[in-house]
Amino acid sequence: MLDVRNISFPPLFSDLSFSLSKQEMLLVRGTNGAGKSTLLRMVAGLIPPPPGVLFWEGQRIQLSTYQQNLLYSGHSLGLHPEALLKDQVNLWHYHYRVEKKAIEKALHIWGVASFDNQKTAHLSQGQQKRLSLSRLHWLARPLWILDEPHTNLDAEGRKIFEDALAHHLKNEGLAILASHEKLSGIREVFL
Amino acid sequence: MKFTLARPRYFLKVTNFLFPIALVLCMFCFAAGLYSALITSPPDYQQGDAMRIMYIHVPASWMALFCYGALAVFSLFVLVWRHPFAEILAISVAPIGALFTGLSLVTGSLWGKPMWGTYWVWDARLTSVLVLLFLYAGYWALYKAYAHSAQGIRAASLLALIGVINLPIIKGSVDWWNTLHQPASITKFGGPSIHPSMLLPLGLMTAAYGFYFLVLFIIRAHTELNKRKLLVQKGLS
Amino acid sequence: MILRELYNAYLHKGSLLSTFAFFALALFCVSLTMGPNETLLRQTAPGLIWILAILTIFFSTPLLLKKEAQCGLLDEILLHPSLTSTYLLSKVTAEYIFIGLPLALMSFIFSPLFTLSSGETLALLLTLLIGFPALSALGILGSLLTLNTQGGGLLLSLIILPLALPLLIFGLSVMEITRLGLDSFPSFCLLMGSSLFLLILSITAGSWALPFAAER
Repeated sequence: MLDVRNISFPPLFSDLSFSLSKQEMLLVRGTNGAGKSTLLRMVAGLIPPPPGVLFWEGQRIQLSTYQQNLLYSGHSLGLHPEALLKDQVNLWHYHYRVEKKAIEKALHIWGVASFDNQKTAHLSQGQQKRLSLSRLHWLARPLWILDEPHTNLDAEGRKIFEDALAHHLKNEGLAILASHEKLSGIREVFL
Repeated sequence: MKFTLARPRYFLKVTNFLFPIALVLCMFCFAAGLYSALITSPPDYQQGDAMRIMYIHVPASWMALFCYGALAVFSLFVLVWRHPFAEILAISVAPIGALFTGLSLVTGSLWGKPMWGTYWVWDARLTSVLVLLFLYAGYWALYKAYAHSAQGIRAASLLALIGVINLPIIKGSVDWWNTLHQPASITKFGGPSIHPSMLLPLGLMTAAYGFYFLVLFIIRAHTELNKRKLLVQKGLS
Repeated sequence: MILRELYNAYLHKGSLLSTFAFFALALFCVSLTMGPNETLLRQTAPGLIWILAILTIFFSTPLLLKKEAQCGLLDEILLHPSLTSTYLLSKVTAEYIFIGLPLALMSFIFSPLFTLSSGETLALLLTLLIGFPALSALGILGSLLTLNTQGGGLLLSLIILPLALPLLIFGLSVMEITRLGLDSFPSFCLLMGSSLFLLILSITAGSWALPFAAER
């Protein structure tokens, strides 16, 4: 499904190639500053990749169409700095054209539904991360690109995340993760 | 391969060859130009000896515009082709352009005092040249504000390209608006409206400014090249 | 997209209040320092109001955009299928409604401070309303260019103010002509033309600047 051919970002990495098919997951490992986030941002097209590097379903990608296949979650959580939780739901609703019901259901799963009238910026780091990751449940995209999804999550949060990931892969999804966690039985790329 | 001169090695070769020539020609033209401008050329029948400042003012203004044009072309190369060598050329040319713009403004206002009775007046030509100076300043400030020069140069290049609209405004300002500033008297229909005896010193001074630009430009470009080489070497060791 | 941006701007209402307060206070201080000289006030008021409006926009826009960018909201914008210029236009519209209109209204309300006649007040209101879209667009372009620097509003003003000069010049020439009681329609046309031109220019340039502003 996804082919990455000879991707380079001097001086961090050069001529890196990998491919990913349905139900597969790839773990990007590396020390701090090795370029994990940069690689992920490039695969997501946030740093414009040179032409002829990314291929989706065997075709050379057209950036904005390709991006409709992916769910990117980076270090910045994508939460509006001034929003109450219900405002954030509205904003997502306008931005992604997703039903509010679906978002609220996801918030229940992640256990952050009860903070309706609180500013998201005032929630704890872990709660903010949960809120941000709730998009795994309401945004249906085949390719997940997740940068350090485990950060700040407690045991329960990780469980929710692992379940979501397993479910996603079972439903023919693809995932690229950058993480320091030890996950067994997964293909890895070292930077 | 496409831009042979744009490869640093060739650029160094060519400019090392050009540099002494430009230096000598620059000094010669300055000497000859100043001599003929200040001593042998006749005073203007209207403006008297005060118009001799024209020989300093006009070439400076031309060079200011020329430098901005060059900056815009290099910026285009930076943005579209991401040519690393164009970055070096662009940041070499920008301060020189600012220098000429400043010189043009200062000599212009010195000329304005005896002619118009004031150092400064907000007419279209003066304002648009002042904007040119601000564009140079903004370009440099934006470039320097970035921690990574590779990012800074791209932001600044975009600004430089937007600023290009100012060039035709400067050019047209004396013709479109009725201003105090006199229209250009070099290129009128039916031959120049300026006497040949004045054209010679003007030409010499323009050549002098041009070679002076070349000298400064080569020095700045070499410095910038060496700076980057050093950075690369440090990065490797 | 436009709904998103309107809502997004609405969420900033807290920071917008301080923007308006700044503008009001600055107007008040200016009229205070000019003293009770009516003719002087009348002559200088349009220029002062215009400059304050420009500075208010140029100082508030980068703050808002920087906040959004730090939270990763620009990433979401880039991943959105619509064109970057659509986003920028929506943002200009939102800023027009949430900053431009209130500022214009405030200058309208405060115009008695400067002893402007009703005709001049109306002309002032119109020039501001015509100029604001271009000013917002320029402000957004400047914010994108300076997003990854520590420069903020100062740097933005340095690089963008020269580009905003046509608006200032034509806006003030409208005011001058109105004050003298002449036909100001041609000047209005010039103002509209330059506003439209700058709007298009800064949105085109902005859609180039947006991707690399998000690169970090």
